[in-house]
Amino acid sequence: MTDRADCQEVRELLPELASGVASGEQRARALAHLTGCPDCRHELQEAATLVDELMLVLAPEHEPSAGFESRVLAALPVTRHRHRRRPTRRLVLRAAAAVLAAVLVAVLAVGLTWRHTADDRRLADHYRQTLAVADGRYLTAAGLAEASGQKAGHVFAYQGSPSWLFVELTAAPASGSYAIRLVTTDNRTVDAGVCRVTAGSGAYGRTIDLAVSAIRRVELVQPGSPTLVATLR
Amino acid sequence: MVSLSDESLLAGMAAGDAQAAATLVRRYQARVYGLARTIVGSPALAEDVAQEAFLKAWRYAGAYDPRRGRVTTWLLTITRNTAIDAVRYQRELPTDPSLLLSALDSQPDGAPDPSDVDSLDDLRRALGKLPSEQSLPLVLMVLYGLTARDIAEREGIPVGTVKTRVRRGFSVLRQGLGVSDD
Repeated sequence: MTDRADCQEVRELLPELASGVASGEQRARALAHLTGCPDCRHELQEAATLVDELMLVLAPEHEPSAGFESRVLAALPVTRHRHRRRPTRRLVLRAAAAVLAAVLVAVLAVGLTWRHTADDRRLADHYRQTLAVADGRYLTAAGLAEASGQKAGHVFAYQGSPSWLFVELTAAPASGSYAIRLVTTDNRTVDAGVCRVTAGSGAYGRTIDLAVSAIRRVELVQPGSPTLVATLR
Repeated sequence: MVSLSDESLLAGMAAGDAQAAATLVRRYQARVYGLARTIVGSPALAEDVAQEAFLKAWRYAGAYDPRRGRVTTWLLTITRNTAIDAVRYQRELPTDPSLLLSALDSQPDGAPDPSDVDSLDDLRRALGKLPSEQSLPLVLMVLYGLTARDIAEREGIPVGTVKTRVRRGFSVLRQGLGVSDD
């Protein structure tokens, strides 16, 4: 319910509310009113946008002294692996991985279609929204192939918290168990599980502790059959 | 490689990715430092404020909500509040808001997004045209975080007059940007 006096009181306080300088008591009174008054909420939103733009206009850009960036980075309390949820790797249920892959393939398909229609902005928005669902940073994909160039499947990698990897084989040269190895940008090799293949097809997914950007390539190895490689960077 | 959006960088920071922080710092250091310097005046103090603002951004990246505004706005609000805290107990403002207003015409464009250039230019012009009795309290409130009561004491005028002038200033600027005041 919004009586006239309440609306008037809030309108008078709008600049201070939007500038973030209203007292706690004023804010509390205003919020109690705003909850039930869409008109005043709209007014406050407009005023807040104006305040944002005023800050942009009033404060010209100015470069800090040399070395500022490195000083800020050196001051970050933790520089690696903050908020990692688990110290050990965790298998993802194959069913869940398959769902993720289906979603991913759908997103990529939509993305490709949109790219060809030159509507890159919509694609970017869609991509951002998809990532925002779980606070992800990016998705990437690469073809898996034999050294001869014969295609065998795909690798999808998602940078997020946690990051994950999904391997999909549709035309593997042999059945059996492929060991998955991640070769990092600093040339370490990390074992990442086993993908079982039947009649050329198989899929495997898991979370990974490595940053996706630290993975140079993914190798699928099975003694006696050609090694499959996907290059991520 | 496509450059990452601000939102993606914050998500990376929330996950502890220092590389994302480095990119964000590189992208916004001139803007953050510029705002800090505008408010606190001293270059050395402004660097401390800017650094503290980025540390807060790192610490609270996980709490950023894209529905409540752009990353630029979020980061600049953190910067402004940090700068205000740094000079809160000084009797005099470290920089002169009148000079700031008179410098509006000579400012280069610092818009973060090309689509904003026109509206920011319009706003700059509209602000420059406001009578100083309206623009001055408005700047004191928006940029220096002073309440109407603080401004009244500082300028030696009644609180009600300050509120009226700021409100009128807001209304004129919004109309100048084509926003209805109804």
